[in-house]
Amino acid sequence: MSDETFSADRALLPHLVPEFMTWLWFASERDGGSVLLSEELGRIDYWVDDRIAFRDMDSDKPRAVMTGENPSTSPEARAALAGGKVLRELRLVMRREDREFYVTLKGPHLDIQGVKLPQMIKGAAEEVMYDRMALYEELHFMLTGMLKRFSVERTSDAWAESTLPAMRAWVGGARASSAVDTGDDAA
Amino acid sequence: MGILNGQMTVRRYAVQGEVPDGFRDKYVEALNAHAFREPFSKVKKEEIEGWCQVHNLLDTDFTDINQWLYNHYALFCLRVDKKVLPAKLFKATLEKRVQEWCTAHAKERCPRGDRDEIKDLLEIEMLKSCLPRVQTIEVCWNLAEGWLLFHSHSAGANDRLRKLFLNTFGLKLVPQNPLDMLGDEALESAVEHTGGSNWSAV
Repeated sequence: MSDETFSADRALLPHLVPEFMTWLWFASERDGGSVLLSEELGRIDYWVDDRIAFRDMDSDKPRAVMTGENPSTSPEARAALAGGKVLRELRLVMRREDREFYVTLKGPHLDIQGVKLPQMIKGAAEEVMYDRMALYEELHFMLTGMLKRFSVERTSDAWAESTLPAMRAWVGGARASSAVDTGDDAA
Repeated sequence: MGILNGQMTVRRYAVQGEVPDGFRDKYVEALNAHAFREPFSKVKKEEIEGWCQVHNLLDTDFTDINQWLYNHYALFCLRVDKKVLPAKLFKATLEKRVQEWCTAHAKERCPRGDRDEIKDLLEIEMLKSCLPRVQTIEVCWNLAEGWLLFHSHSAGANDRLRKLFLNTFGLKLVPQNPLDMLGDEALESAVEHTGGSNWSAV
């Protein structure tokens, strides 16, 4: 019956979702926020929206929450990564064709929160539900496509050779810029 | 709120097990058997749970499948009621009752046994007139593809859902594991063997 066979006994990888979210943030800047997911899904645009929450490595409690306009471009946000914090929540906008989806990702189940779907037909409850479920499934396919894309890059040789050094430089750039802002020497 | 309108905040589950032949009749019976029922006693403090319809939490009869089954989507709510006494009011009223007892019995202090009895009677009295705190959480089950959305991330509510769903339908809910979304055993295995990256190791 099920085309999804989630493994009850398979442990959640604690680093998977925080790394995926960090990569999404990094790749949105590296790739200009546009990605071809697959022939079937086509191209999507995405960017970090107005909320990023961090936690300490060994605790699920939020330690720093950045909200407002473009928190992803603030030196403080990447400095939090440089300081050893990991992403707890990331709010994204994903656009496919003319449809925009707003979603906050939250680990370790990759739960979704505060999802704003792009449109809503008005009518009987039945029609509304079909419409919203179709849009929800579209969002799920996009997130699955992005997770696959991350996983392929994460497990390839390119991760250690180019992606990880580039992400470290990206994080380090924020640290340097933060140090300049405060008049300190760059670490 | 969520599945039919407004913002969605959901956890996704896979439903493990087969939907039986003739599931419509069986699931009407199952939902009705585990539907929310008002407690016989108005002084019950424990949480009471059961299924109700999405359209109105007072509708707990699932006999008409057109009210909850839309093609391959089953839509219903988990309802949980709990009576909670207002703690400060309860404490203040109890103190008054204890003072009254002391006056009536011409005693300076009320013995523990009598105080406990006054407390139990007051609790029953207040529970009778106290309305429950009512929580409803939407469930949307795609029967054809075997997945389900639950409109809450709360650990307690999700535990409650899994237990009641298993008792109702005999099917197990397994929460989404991002690894399972990859749909490629080799890739899943490769990801499973990765460790956490350190961004700051320049």
